[in-house]
Amino acid sequence: MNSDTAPDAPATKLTESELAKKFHQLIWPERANVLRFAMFLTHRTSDAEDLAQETLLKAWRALDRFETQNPNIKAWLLTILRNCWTDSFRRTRHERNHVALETLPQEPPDREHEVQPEEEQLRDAEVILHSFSDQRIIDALRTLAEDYRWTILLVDVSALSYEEAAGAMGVPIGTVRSRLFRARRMVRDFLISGNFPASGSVH
Amino acid sequence: MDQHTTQRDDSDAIQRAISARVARLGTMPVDTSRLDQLLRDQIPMPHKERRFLIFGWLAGAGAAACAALVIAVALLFTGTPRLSAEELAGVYRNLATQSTLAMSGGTTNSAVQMAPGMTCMLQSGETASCCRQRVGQYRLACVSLKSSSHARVVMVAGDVGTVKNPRGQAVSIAGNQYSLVVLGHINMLMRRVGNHWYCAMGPEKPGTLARYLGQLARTKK
Repeated sequence: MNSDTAPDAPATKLTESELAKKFHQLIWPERANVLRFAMFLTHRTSDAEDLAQETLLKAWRALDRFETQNPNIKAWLLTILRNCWTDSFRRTRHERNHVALETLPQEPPDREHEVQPEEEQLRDAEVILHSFSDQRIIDALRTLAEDYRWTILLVDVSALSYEEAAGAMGVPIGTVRSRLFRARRMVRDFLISGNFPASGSVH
Repeated sequence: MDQHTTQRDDSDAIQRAISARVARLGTMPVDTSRLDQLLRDQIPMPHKERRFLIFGWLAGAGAAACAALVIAVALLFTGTPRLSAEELAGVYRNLATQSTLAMSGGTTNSAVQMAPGMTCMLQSGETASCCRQRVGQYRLACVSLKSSSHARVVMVAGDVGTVKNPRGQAVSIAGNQYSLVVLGHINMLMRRVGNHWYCAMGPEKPGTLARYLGQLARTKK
């Protein structure tokens, strides 16, 4: 598991005022992104706000060790968020759709060899792009196993590179690629199937 | 081998579609007001902000009256309100989720009227629809355009005297000055010409968005 901080950054002693200025320049503008990400993980807005607050406070406490010459604020913050999520909220979350990675059913072999006509495939892609509300997409993401959900949230929603996402999750880049491929396919299957999740929307 | 290649191409199309749709969640608006208050209780403000925060702690009607006076004076001197990047991204999201576009004027050397006195020239293979989108109390002229490669670009025009465009980073493309905002996967490239501002939004690169902005033209009366 990755450290929250940049371990190789030299310790720079800043005054509280300088730290506050640095926080508001670098981290404050990212708070909406952090909160949004937290809302995709939790089922309650209050839980999301608590998770975002914990993340940003940890960032504040580690800020004097953050390397600003080549900042990758988003990846750094999401790594902290993931650690907060793993340490604190995993024990108390109220998810009902959690499925462990190793218990996911295998794809039936014949499905892997299905060939759809080009027109139908294009129509499916158009349907995917244009016909689903944000809440439906969020519901689809919540049906994913945690590692798959994190992968698609980090890469597709937060626009991290494969390398950055791999660093945030502490896995090889190849694992990110394969999880991302499967996660997207599962989201697509959920959307096309028309199933509705047991859990409700964020409230 | 051909069958596997076709399977891979189809799978890639679905993967790209899912990625693009999920990516839009990155522009979903969130209310940070409670989070802001939680953080302000625990993290000091920089000195400049602290002065205003102290001002905000004054009790009674006097503080409210002073705040109202300050706002009135600020509005008097700054005048026009400004859209936020999130508000503008909402316009893109609304139009990008429309599954069909009205065919406007054919597909070659065509122009669609975006607003009175303003047109959008279409390139070969492009389709577009025009509408007015409500953002708060303002209505903006919009063109939702789809290229032959299925890329979706939304262009917005606004009157500087009515509502201003979001602030962004100054960039120069092909000798022209623009303002750029990046929100998730959405790039917003803006340019002011006279009393109007124009914005091209989409996942395309800023250089490509600049080309789309070049397709807008004001018609002489």
